[in-house]
Amino acid sequence: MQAEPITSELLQLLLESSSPEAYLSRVELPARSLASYAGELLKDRGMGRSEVIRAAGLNPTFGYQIFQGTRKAGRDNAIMLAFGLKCTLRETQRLLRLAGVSELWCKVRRDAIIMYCIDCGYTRAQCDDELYRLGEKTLITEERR
Amino acid sequence: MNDAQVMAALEHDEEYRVVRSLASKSTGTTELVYGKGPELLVRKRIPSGLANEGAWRTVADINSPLLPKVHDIYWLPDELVVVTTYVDGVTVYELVERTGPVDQKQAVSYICELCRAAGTLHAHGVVHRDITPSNVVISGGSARLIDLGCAREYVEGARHDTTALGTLGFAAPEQFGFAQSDARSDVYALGSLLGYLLTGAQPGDKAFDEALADEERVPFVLRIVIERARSFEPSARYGSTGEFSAAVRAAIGERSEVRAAAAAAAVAAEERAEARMAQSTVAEGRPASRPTDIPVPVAMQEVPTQPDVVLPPTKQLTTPVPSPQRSTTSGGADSTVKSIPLPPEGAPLADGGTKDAGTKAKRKKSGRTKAKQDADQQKREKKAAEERQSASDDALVHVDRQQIKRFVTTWPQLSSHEKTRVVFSWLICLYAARMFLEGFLDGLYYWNTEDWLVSLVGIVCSLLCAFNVHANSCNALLDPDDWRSAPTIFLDWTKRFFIWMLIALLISGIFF
Repeated sequence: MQAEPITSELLQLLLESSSPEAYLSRVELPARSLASYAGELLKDRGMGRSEVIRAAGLNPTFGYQIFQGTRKAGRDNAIMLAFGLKCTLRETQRLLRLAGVSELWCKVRRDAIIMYCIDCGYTRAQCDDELYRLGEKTLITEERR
Repeated sequence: MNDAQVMAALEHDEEYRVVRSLASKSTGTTELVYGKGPELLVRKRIPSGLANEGAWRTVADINSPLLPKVHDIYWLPDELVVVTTYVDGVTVYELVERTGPVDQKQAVSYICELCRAAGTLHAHGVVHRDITPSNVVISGGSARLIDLGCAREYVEGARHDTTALGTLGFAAPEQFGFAQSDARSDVYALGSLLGYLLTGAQPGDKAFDEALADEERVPFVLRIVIERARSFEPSARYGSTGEFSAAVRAAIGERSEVRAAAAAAAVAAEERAEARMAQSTVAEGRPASRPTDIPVPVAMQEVPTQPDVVLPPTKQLTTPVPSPQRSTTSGGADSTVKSIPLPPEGAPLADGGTKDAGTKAKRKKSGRTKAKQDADQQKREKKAAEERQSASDDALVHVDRQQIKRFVTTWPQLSSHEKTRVVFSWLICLYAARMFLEGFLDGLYYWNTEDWLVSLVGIVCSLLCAFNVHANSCNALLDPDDWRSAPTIFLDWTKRFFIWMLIALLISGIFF
């Protein structure tokens, strides 16, 4: 995977800069999209799109379109994709940022359960079981089924 | 596509292992992949809006070594994926970038191969629409046409193409939406490509026109052919790639061995006549050489030859021909009639004569020396004439052998329809020969003026018909690229046949 500057370092540089232009001229910001990041993760894991879509429980056409970059994923779909791609917690947060949705927050009950599942390396189905057991809304809802 | 089909297509897509990406454009992406086997393949993803599945399915049925073989065609939700064989080699673009313009004969050879490849597509109703230097790969010494991403099927009655695709400089004007593209659109691209190969300049640039006008790079005849192929109006171009290929080859003299031999014989005869004339003028005591104050006629200045008089290099023509009055050289399309080399003032000329009157007086003084010189000169000329005759005979034998070889190699490649056409032509030829025999025998048997004249007319007509049919079928058969013009040849023959028959009837009517 492509190496890129660390966010905290970039933040440091930004705060030290006298103007936005000065910061922008000093750093090279990566042009990354959800599709390209998902593609990189896919390559890194040596997985196929069909495998990820199946593991994530996404609709095949919708999953294909996310990989193609022709559709945007909502928060739950992005979390499901992270499960499919066997992401770490950090990768999941990055994926959510690139999807343009809010990151997982451990102060929120449902998010905390999902974070725990991701950290333990659970599958999407196991995560849904945990959410169901603890009375939270599952990632795959009845209408999606 | 339903969900199951999408999953199946994705799984099928993942069976190919990507080696590297070759290109990514708005018209699609191209990747180098491995399939189940060890063979390298090219996978092209074409957006559904630009994809022409029908054309690809047709191409998949074609089995030509000059075209990529289609291995697999499948759909993903928004794109058509086509897997073809990988053609290893350098593209024409890379070749020209590395080594500059290509040698004339080599360029023509590549273009003829591409004409065959494009002709195969056209025969199946498919137009390539993107024959560019990047889409032609030189592999194993031959040119292969790749990337049929812009290919489309010709649709009867369509006013223009659905999508405007192509590469600037190589795409014909009608590809910009003015009319439907057809085989002539590819002729335009092939003409541009030939220009690019010979000049190294990008068609459409100002430098291209300038380079094309440079006769050292592009012979005049070839430039005319390229310009016709690149005509704005499709109707002004060559009607097919076969016609274009034949014109290109004729322009560099590949097809005119027979004509060349005949032309060489004519040159030899002319030179013999000149030699005789020179001999007689010397004998009469007149200066045989051209005086220096007479300007050289324009026709004898260095000029490029026209298509009909292009002489390819043959043994006969390349043999140095000592001429008392002028020297000629020949070398394929570059063959030129050199300007007369005029020796310096007072220098002796080839025929032993001189160009000023002072030497005449000198010659008179030494009459014995002059007679000896004349005798030597006559001997030299006789020997040269014999050598020329022998070289001419050798060239004709060589040409005949080549023709026979070509005939044998061409015959199995012809379709049954084409074979029938040739056999038909030869049958007519035989019938004409029979007419000749019958006319001749009638004339002999009846031996009266009336029958004899009728027979004579029959003989003349039949001979002309036989000669014409023979020549035309030979032409068609000896040049595999000229098959497109076969109907024209047939029509031409038919027209001539009826004209001669009409003349025969008129003559018969007048006399009897």
